[in-house]
Amino acid sequence: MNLRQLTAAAGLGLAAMISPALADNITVTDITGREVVVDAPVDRVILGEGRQIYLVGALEPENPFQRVVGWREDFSQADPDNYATYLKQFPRMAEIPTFGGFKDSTFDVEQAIALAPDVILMNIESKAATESAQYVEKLEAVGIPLVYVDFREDPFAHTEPSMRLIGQLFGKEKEAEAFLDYRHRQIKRVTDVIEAAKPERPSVFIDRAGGYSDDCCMSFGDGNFGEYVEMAGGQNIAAGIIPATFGNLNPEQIIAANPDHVVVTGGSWDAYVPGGKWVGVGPGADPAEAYRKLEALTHRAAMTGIAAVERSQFHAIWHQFYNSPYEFVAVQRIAKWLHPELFADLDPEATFVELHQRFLPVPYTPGYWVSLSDVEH
Amino acid sequence: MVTLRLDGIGAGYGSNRILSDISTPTFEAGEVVAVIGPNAAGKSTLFKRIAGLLPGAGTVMLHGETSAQAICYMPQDSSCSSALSVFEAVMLARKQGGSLRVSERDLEIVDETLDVLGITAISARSVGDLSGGQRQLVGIAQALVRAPEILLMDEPTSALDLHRQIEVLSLVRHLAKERRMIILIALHDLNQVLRFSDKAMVIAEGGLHACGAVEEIITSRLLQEVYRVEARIESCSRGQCQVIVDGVSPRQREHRRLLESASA
Amino acid sequence: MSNTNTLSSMASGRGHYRALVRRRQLMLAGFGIALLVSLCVDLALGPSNYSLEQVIRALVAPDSVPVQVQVVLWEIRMPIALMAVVVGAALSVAGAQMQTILNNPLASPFTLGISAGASFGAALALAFGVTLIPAAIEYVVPINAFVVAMLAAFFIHLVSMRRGVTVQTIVLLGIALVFTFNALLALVQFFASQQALAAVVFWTMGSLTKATWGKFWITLAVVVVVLPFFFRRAWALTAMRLGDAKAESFGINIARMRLETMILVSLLSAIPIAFVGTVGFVGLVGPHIARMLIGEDQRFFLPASALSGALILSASSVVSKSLIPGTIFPIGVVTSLVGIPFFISLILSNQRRSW
Repeated sequence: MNLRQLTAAAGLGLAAMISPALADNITVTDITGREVVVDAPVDRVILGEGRQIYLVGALEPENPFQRVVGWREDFSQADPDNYATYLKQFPRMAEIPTFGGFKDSTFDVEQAIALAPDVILMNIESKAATESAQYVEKLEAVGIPLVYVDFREDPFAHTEPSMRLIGQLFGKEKEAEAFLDYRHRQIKRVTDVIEAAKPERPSVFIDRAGGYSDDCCMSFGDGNFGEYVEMAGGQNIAAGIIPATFGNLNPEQIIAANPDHVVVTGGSWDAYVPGGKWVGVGPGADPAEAYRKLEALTHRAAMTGIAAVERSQFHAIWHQFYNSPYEFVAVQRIAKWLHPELFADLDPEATFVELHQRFLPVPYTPGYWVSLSDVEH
Repeated sequence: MVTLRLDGIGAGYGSNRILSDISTPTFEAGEVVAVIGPNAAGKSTLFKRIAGLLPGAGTVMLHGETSAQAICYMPQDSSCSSALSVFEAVMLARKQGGSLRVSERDLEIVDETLDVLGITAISARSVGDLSGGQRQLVGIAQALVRAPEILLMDEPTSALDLHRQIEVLSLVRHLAKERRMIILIALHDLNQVLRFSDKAMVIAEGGLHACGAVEEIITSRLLQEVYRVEARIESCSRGQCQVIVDGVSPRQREHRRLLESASA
Repeated sequence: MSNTNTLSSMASGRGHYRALVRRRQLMLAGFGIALLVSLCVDLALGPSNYSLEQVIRALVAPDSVPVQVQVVLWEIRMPIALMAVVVGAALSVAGAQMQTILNNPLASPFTLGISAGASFGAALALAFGVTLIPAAIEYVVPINAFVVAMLAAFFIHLVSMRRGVTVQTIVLLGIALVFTFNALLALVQFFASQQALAAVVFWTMGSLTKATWGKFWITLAVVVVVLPFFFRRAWALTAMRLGDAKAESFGINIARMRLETMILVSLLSAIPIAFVGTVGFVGLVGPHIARMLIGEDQRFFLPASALSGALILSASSVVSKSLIPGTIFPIGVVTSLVGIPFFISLILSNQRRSW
């Protein structure tokens, strides 16, 4: 062999050793810190929760279901409006095999194996159930890796690593970064202003699914919507009272706390409480009807004489934001309600429109919020 | 003055007819009538029928000044776990169907009844804590306190010691005479029957075997037919008739001998 | 008979009874006073921290206080406090009579499957919007709960009318119904959305915050109508404790008494449960406390059961508001925490037999 051939051989050998990207197996770290070996980019994916499509769709908007070979059946139940929109755009979605069941339980392992996925994306809430059934080991035995993601339990800590992870798995790191970058910037549009101005924090009562039952009232503790309110420069009246993420407030407590704002979460719950007093906001909602029902909620005994009612600072926002990687839109919307002067040039609707146009596979339909203070919409 | 007569009485549970066509002569006030017969002959059923607690054929003919609560049935002893005191349990019997208020008269009557039966000392104890004998005395008190004109007592002395048995039966006889009651009493001890009752009714095989004055009813032949027992009725040194049992009937002995020879 | 019985010991029987009755009357009065105190505390306490003077003025002269105080007292605190009293009374009386006619110390609205049925009916409405009787939307859940509870009761009645059915059969059947409804409830929860699941779970923990004036009046009406019925049969019901044979010999129609009582008891328990969700323990322990303190004479036992049940639930309402100020602890959990220690101390200290 002459020197040129030797160099070429050495170069190839070296290249083979130092470019694992060309090789098929990569090691990823999921959000629980587990290191998992996956044959990436994957062609066949099982979504442990149907609504993971919110993340996946942002990576491949032209054909978000091309890799999905199976998913959990919660999308149609939890978010029927968006489900309908997705279905219209991608009729093939209805044919994807589904699993039903409990929020925290996992699915039929056999069925999962039969679909021969390259990876399974599980939500972190299912971790306990998955582990106790030893699904991870069983799937490993047939060569199917499982990774944990999350955008609900701790959205502000976990959405980014989850998105990056999926980007890695799909070979769509660039798209993932683009989305995360956009999300990060939109969040900072709120948090930077709050940090700089350090305004006085108005007190906010978050009415979880207000009007859904005849009880009053369910609210959020320090997590989830509670955190959105804090980020938006507000003070959650249930903070420190409700120990968990969700809980009940004594109706008297609401009157005693005299909140400056009330944010009611609503959705289209006709399937569960037809004709109920809940506020129907969400994609494609009827704004006049939503306004009417929101106004009706101000007459409840627990709302008597509070500042929010007196000053018409009574708002409603789409409930599913509690469970969605687009929650930064909610944060923007709430920030604008709480501090209209600080956020005079912030347009949450425009943000949401842009998100749909640039990243999402379906078009934007308005109706996600309404307010009795409606000066602009 | 009350009289009682049974005319074609029948009774049973569902399709199971236990008694049929029982007719008796008239019983007069002041009489103690013993009701005797083998086990499960239907004595309790008869009492329930007479008291109106069971429906059935025939008529129970009552004459005289009678009130709605004229007939009182005292069932066989059974235990219970109640915390009611003896006083309360007896008061309870008296107040059935009555007003909620307990009057002075009610208190008096209960006290007297307890005293007559000698159970005043236990009037504050729970009925659930009593011995069988004490319970029976309470049961008797519960029957007497309703001031019945016709009293049906179902084996009221089965758990009592000999002394108490004699006491109670003497009392029963005394009450019958004094208060002009008719008392039907189911007993097993035929000597007591002879001593304390005026008349006897024999219930066997679902019907009335015999009824009449006690000396005429309790005979060797009756004991043979109904109880399959060999016995003699003889006067004791004080003139009181006694039943002296010699043994079980030869038919039984024959049957046993047949069995022994077959297995040999 | 016995010559040793003197007039004095005869009088002692009477005297003792009179003293017993007087003691019971005093105890009833004591129960009543304790209930009144608990009710007042329930009205006076709350996150708004109104002064006692303000509370009294709001009750006596509502127009003299600000609208907010009025609303808090009259629309929030009063319905809850009063509902606690009537629901506690209703459940306790229901339990008392169930224990009486079934001769079983463990009988309660839960033992016969009535409460489990109500939970299932409510879950159907909360999870799937299934309405068994078309009605205005805010009544759907209570109506569902009531209908299924009464169906369960009706089933038990049907079976108990058959010949040869004993008390043990009825109790076992009730337990079977409990298991059946609990399984069905679990099935509903399996298919329910997360939202509905939370609602169902909260419903089964019981909540007095659902109380409204309308629900209060309805529950009160049921109690007021049923109690006289039981009172008129006080002596007969007391006699049931002496055993079937004895009671029958008093001329009591046992089968009919059982049937009528069970129908009334079903109403008495299904309606409050339909309104406030399942509140455990009161129907079981209220009567036992009453029985241990006051005895089995229905003339006293009945009102004592009502009062002790009302007291337990009213005290629980106070505790559930105060444990974590600002939120309300599920009432079903609190009744157990409040009732059990008292119940255990009574069991351990009770010298007299009570069952």
